[in-house]
Amino acid sequence: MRTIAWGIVLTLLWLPRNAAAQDCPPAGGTYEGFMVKSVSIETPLQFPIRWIERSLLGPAIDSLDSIAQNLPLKPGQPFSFVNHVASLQAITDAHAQLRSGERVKLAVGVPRFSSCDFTARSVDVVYRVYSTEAAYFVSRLLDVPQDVPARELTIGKASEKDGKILPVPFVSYNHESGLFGGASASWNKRGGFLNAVDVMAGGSSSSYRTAFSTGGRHDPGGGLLSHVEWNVGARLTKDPAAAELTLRESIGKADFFAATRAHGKFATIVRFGTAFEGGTVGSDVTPGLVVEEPKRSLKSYVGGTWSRNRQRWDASYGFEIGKGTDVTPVDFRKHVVDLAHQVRLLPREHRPIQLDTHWSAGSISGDPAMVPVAERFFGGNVVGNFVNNPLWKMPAGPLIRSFPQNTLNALVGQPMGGTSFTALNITAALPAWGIPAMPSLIRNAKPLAGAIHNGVKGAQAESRKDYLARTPNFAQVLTRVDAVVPDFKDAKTRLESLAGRNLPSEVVDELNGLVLIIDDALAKHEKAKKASRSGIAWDVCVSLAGADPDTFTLAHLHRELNEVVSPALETANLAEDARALRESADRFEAHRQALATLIDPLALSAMVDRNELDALGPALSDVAAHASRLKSALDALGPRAQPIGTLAFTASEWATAVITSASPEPDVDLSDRLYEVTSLTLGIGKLVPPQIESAISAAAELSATLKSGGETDAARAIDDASGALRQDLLALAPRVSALQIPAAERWAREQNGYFVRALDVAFREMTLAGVRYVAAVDVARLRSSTGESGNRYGLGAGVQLSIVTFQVTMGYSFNPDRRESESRGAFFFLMEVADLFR
Amino acid sequence: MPTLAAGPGTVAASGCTEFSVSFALLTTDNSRQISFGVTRGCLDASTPLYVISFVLRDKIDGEFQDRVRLLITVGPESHDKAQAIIDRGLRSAQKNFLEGPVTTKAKAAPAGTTESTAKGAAIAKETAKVLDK
Repeated sequence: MRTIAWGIVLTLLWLPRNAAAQDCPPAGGTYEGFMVKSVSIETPLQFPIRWIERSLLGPAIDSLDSIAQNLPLKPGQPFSFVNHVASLQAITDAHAQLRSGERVKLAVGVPRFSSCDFTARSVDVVYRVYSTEAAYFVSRLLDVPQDVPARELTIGKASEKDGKILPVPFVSYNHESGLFGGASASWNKRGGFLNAVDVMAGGSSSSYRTAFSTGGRHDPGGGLLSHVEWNVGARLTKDPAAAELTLRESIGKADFFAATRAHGKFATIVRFGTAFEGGTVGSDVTPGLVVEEPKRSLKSYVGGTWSRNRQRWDASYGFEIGKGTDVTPVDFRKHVVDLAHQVRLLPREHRPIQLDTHWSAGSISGDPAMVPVAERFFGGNVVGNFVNNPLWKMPAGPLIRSFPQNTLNALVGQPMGGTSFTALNITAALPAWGIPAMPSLIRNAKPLAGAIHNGVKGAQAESRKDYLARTPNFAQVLTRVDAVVPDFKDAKTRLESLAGRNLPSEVVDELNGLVLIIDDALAKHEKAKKASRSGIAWDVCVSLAGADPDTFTLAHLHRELNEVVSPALETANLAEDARALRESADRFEAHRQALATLIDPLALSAMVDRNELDALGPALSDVAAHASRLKSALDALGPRAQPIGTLAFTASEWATAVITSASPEPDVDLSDRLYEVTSLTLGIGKLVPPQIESAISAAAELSATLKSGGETDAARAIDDASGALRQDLLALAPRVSALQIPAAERWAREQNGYFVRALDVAFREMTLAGVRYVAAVDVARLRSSTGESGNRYGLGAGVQLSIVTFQVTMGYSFNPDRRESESRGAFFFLMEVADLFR
Repeated sequence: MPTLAAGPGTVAASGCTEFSVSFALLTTDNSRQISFGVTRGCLDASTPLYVISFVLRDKIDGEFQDRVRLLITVGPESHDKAQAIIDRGLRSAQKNFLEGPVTTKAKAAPAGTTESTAKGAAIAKETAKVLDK
C-alpha cells in the first residue's frame, strides 16, 4: 500500500511538469539566443509534506538556491549553449564535493526545458539533480560518528567546520526509559596532541546520561595504522533495568584505540585498544537498598573486519579485569566475543536485499559476591557497548528485540542479570520502494561508461607508476637524474642572459619559454626527491628520458636549442653563444639517452607482451568490420522521432566506440592497448559491460522497437550485424582473459579495487531514498550460578527508511514464548549510517 | 545524420540526451582522492558536445597533491581523433604531452590570450598536436 501511495503522490507531483516538457525539444542547442525566463534546480527528494522536508532535507534543498543563483546561465539573458553546458557541469561538480565524514559522493544532473515558446523565443530551464548530498545533512541528526575520515582528508568544503563547535540535539524513546532527550556537541581541530572534545547530556524521567571526553585523533597518511585516537574523560549514567532495579555508573576513563590500513583482497583491518576505568558502579536492587561499589578495571580489545563482494565479516574479543578496594572487594574477569556477517544481494540494480547475522557471547568469572550487579549482563532491545567507542560496536550484553532495555535479567525471579550469555540476531531487509541514485536514462549511456573507464584507467596508470618507483632499480634512475641539474642551471643562466640582449622579440620569447621549461624541470626534480618512492618521481624521470621533443623536456631542449635558438643567435652574430648552447643541447641529449637506457627496461616490465597483443589483431579487425556494418545499418535509419531516434543514437555511439577500440594503432603504449582490448571484451564486471556487449544490447533494444513498428527489414539488418559481433565477443573474451598480466598491472588493479567497488555500489546499488521491509529473529540466553533464563525469542517485523546511507529502522518484536513476568514484546528503533563503501 | 527542424507543430528528431555525472571518492586508507565527471550537451538531436574531467590527488608528506588534473572538451568541430578520446579515454602519450613543455609555455601566456592573438594561435596550434599522439 505504501508503495502505491508513494507512486500516486510522485505521479501527481511530477506529471504536470513532465507533461509540459513534452513539447520542448531536449537538445539545449535548439534554444541558442532564446530569452531565458527562469532557471531553477529541482531534486527528487523534495517531499510533499513541508515540515518533514524542512527537518530532514532543508539544508540540502536550500543549498540548491545558492547554486542556482550563481550559474552561468541566468534568467533575463539570452540562452547560450556554452553557458548551459557549463551550468550543468557546475551543478554536478558542486554536489560532488566531499565533506567531512564522506568517502563517496555521486551527483547526476539532467536538464529539462519545462516550457518553451518558439514564437516569442523564450524558454524556462530546469536542472534536476540526483545527488547523495542529502545523506550528509540527514546524518548530522545522528550523534554517532562513523568511520569518519579526518576533515583535512576530504575534498572541497570539508574544512569549513574545522575548529568549530558542532552541536547535535537528539531524542529517542524506550519502554523502560520513556522519552529521552538531550544534546551533544563536538569540537575537532587539525593536528596537535589534543584535537577533539566531545560532550553529551541527556535524560528522561527515569534515566540520565552525561559524558565528557577530550583527546587526540589522527589518521596517518602512511605506515601501518590508518587511525589512532586517545581519550580521557568521564561518564555518569543511570539506566532502568526493571521496575525495581536501576543501574548506575560514575566512571572516569583513559583509553587508546587504533586500526590498521585495509590490506589484501579481503580489505583486512585489525583494530585494537585498551582502556582504564575507575569510579563507582551502583544498583538499586529493591526500593531503599542501594549498592555502591568501587570499580577499577582494565579493558583490552582486539578484532578484525573483512569485506569482499558485498559481504562483510567482523570479529571482536574483549577482556576486562575488575578490582575494588580493600574496604569493598570487587574481583571479576569478563570476556565478550562478537561475530557478525552481512551480505547484500543484488538480484536487480538498486534493489538490494540485506541479511545481517550476529552472534555474541559473554562470560564473567569470579566469586559472585565480588561481581557488582551493574557489571553483570542485562539483555533487551538496546544494549551497551563494551568498547565505549562509536567507531567499534561490541555488544556488552545479549540483544533481544522483544524485550525492553535491560529486562532480560530475571533468573529464577531475581532481576540480577547474568554471568554469561549467548545471543543470535538475524535481520533481513527487503526492498519495497526506492529512487535509484543513477537514473536508468544515464545508467546505460555510453559517455558514462567512457567516464568510468577514464577514471579507472587513469587511477590504474598512476598505481603502475607507484609500483615501478618502488622497484630496486629505480633508485639508480633517480641518482642519474641528479646529474642533469648542473647542466640545467648552466643553460638557464645563459638563456636568461641572452634574453636581456637586444634580440628579435620572437627569439626572446623562445628563450624565456625555455627558461620556464628548465624552471619547471628543476621544480619537478625537487618534488621527486621528496617523493622518491612514488609515481610522482617516476613521472619526473620519464619526462626527462622520453624521446618525443613535443612531449619530453630534455628532447625538447635538445631540439629547440639546436634548431631554433642557435640558428637565431648565429643570425644575430652571437656565434659563441650559439656554440655554447649547441654543446648544452648535446649534453642534454646524452643525459636523455643515459636515462632512457636505465628506465626503458623498467617501463617495459610493467607492460603485457607485445606479441600477445599483436596476436589478437585479426580478431580485432573482424570486430571493427562487424561494428562498421552495424553502424551502417543504424545510419540507414536516418533522423527519427522518439523512441527510435534516441535508441538509434545510443546504438550508433556504442558501435563507433567498438570500431575505435578495435582499431589500435601499432605504436600505442602497450598498457593503453591492454586496457582498450579489456574494455572491449571484458568490461569492468557488472559495473561496465564489455563495449561489444553494450553495442549488441543497444542494437537489440532498437531492433525490437523497429519490429514492433513493422520495420522488419531494418531490424533484420541490425540483427545480422549485431549477431556477428556476438560471435566475435564469444571468441575473443577468453583470449583476452588468458593474457599474461605483468605484476605491476596486477598490483595496480588490486590497488584500485576499492575504487571499482565503490563505483559499483554508487552506480548499481545505492538509492537516494528507499523503503525496505524488515524481518528480525532473535534468540538469547542468560545464565548465572543461581539459574538460567532458558532460550528467549523475538520475532519482529518493521520497516526501514533510508536516505542514501542514512537508515532509520523501526518495528515491533513479539515474544512468542512469553512468561508471566515478561512483556508481550517491544518496539525497536535504530538510526545508523550504513557502511556500504567498505 | 541530418536533423529535423524543431518548432511549433513539428515533431523534433530525438537522439542525443543531455546529462552530467560527477563522482568523488576518498580511498579507505585516506591517501588518495579521485574525482571524475562527464557532461554531455546536445547542439541538436545528433550533435553532442562532451566535457570530461578527471582529478587524482595523492597524499605526499601529509599534504594532498594533484597527480592528474584534466579537463577536456570535445565539441562538434573536432574530428575522429577527438571523438576517440571520448571512446577510449586519454592515452598515456596524450597525457604526457599535455603535461609537457607545450603546457609549461602556455602557462606563461599573458592575460587576454585567445586563439585570435598571435601567441594564442601558436599555443592552439601546438596543443592540437595532442590528437596525433
